[in-house]
Amino acid sequence: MTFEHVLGLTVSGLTVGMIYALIALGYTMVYGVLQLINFAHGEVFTVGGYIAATTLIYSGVDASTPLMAKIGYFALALIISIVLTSFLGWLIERIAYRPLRKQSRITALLSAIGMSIVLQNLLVIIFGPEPVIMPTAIVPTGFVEVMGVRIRYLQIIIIGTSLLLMGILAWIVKGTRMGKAMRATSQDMEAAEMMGIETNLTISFTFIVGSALASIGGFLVAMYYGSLQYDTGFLYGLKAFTAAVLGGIGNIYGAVVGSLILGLAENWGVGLSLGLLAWLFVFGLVIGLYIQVVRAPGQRVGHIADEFRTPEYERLVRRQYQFTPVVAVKTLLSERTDALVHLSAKHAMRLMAGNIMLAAFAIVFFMNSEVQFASKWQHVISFGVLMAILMFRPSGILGDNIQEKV
Amino acid sequence: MWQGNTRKILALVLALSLAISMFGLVGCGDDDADSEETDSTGTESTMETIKIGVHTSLTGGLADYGFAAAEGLKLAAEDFSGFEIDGVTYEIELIIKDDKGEPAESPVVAQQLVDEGVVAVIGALTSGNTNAAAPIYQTAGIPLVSGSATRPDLTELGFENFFRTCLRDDLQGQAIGEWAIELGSEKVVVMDDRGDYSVALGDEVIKALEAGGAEVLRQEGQEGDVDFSAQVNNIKAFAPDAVIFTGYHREAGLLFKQLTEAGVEAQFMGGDGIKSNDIGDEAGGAANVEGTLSTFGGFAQENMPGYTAFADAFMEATGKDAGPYAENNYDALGAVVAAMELAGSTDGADIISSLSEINYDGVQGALTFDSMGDVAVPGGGGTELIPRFEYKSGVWEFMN
Repeated sequence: MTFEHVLGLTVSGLTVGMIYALIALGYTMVYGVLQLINFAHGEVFTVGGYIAATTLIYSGVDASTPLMAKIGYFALALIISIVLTSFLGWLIERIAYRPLRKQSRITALLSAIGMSIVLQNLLVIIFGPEPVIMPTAIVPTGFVEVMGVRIRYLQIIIIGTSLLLMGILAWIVKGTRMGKAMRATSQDMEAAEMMGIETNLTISFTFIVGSALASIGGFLVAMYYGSLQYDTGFLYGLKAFTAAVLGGIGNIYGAVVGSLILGLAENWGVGLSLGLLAWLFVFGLVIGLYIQVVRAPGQRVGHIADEFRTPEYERLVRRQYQFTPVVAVKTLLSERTDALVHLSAKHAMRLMAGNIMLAAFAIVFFMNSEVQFASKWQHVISFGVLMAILMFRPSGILGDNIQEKV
Repeated sequence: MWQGNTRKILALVLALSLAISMFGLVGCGDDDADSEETDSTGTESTMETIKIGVHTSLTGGLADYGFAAAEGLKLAAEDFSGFEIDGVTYEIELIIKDDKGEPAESPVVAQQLVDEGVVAVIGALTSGNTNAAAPIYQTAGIPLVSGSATRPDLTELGFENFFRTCLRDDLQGQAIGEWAIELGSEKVVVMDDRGDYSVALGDEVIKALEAGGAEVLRQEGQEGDVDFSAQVNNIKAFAPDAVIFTGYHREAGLLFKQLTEAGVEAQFMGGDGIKSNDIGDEAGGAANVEGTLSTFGGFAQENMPGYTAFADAFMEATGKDAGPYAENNYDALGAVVAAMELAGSTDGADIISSLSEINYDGVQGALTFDSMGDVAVPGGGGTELIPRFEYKSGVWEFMN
């Protein structure tokens, strides 16, 4: 296991993660505003890539085209793709979701799945089942060599573009009137309407921005992999959606964090030897211990009403979280039925179980440090990681701790 | 009240149209029933149309293989139409169905062909799809002859109705492995796509490589995946002399492209699944896969006596070069017709029992089946039968 190998995996993981993030942002924005999972978003992404690639094919760009003209064609393809794809996003909302907005969520969800299937089939009907091939002349082929790892300019472009777009999006949401309207609509649509916000316009805008991001994602993917097939968006959409849930759906930063974790999990999971993967568990254990010994007891103590707050009581609650299962069990079995102490003991046991599990995994992995997961485990591992994280944090890494019925 | 009623009516109309469209889809093609005509002169000479099913993949990742198979079969249908059994002249009508290259779709297509009342089926295109469809044809007692399903154990699974006119992958896998050793490879990566065909071929390649003393790293992808970055990084760290991908050309193109871009300098190789000229486009430019080597699951062209004439006919009919396995599919239909003539019957069970006894002279030469349903190669046959190809500026060139 060389450093080169680890760095190579990390760079590809970040690139893939950034692409997921561009799509995941669309899912999470729509969910934030409408509490709707827009399953057609993966297809919107594919359409964006198809339009860009088709424009470039028709432009006839080839190796002999001068650089300035190439840049011009590139910009043209990008603009056409963004405009048409945004229009598609607006159209989807207008015909598939708006008429159903007053209906139950499951109705809109079914409509979304139907829209996804319709779009996928339309792609086959219009462009045929063969993959659309990106003209190679437009793709930058250069690379820099960093410590034995080839980092392609395109990878740098992908990561840079994604970061830039995320910055712009964050500014739109935080710093503009439209962003304020989006946030208000997501909090309470009726109240926002009463305050004079045009919620329909705001929702359309959300779809347009999400689709524009997806179209850029589709373009980047078509350039990175050289081709795009009508069903590529399905898998990407699924992964990006998972990433959005992992980061806490509805949270824009969460979507980015979740996507990066997913991208890295896919690469590290089957690329690193168990000895290195064990360090991730050690890292998790450090966080887990911090939560168990410092954060969780602090929160519990904060819950004690002032009239009961005695140093003795606080000590009792804190003791439940010490790293001794014996204490927790003792309290559970003891005569004392004080609700807070009882609850603390249960909570402490859960955290302890999690930490013990992490430690056990770390030990087992360290003991087999030379072994590596076979690459057929790729999807199992990455989705296993997601399930494990969601088990301990059901609302996602950066999600609000609100129970919701979906 | 008014609104409620309109809505109900509207919903009903929509539901009805949905139901009708479903029936329309399922039932399409049912309208052409068997035509039986008697000569106007009133003699005993009669004409009958016989339905042969073609179970192939015309869309999806292997559309080019499916096209070659279907066109090869159309040529065969023209050539073999008009054979006589007991004074009845038979015209062949092909019922061509597309399983989109998806194993999950394959049983559906099989059932449709069974419902059409075909007497025999040529297909399926891939080993996975053949494996998924064979039980349905077996239950219906319909002979299934594939021209391209190469997975070794397909003929060992107890389907007495299954025959194939291509070679087996244990031979092909051995040939790829030996070829890599011949090229002086000491460290070799074998990667599959976890499909029926791919895993079995990969296993056979590894056997040959290990017998030749090479160090092997096994990697797995997933059919339909576009990103192989984790595998590419692992392969780069292993620093192999050769990378052998045993799946199909779309994933192969993407993998070889990503390997080239990561700076892996190894000999790229693969089996019959990558021998499509599309691989250059799929790899983002033919330069990324220049010099890639592949083998094939049929005989070398120079060893097939009828190949030149067949390729000319194919070119005349379609304007394209004969694609992969076109000749094997042609011979599959030829074998079925030969079996019908030998049995003197168009009954499925009779065709199955006489298929193993035919001695049919086709594009590939004299063709007989062994007791398992594989092509019986005179003298046993070794890896020298397997043809070798190299990808040069956009086309696969025959080497040997």
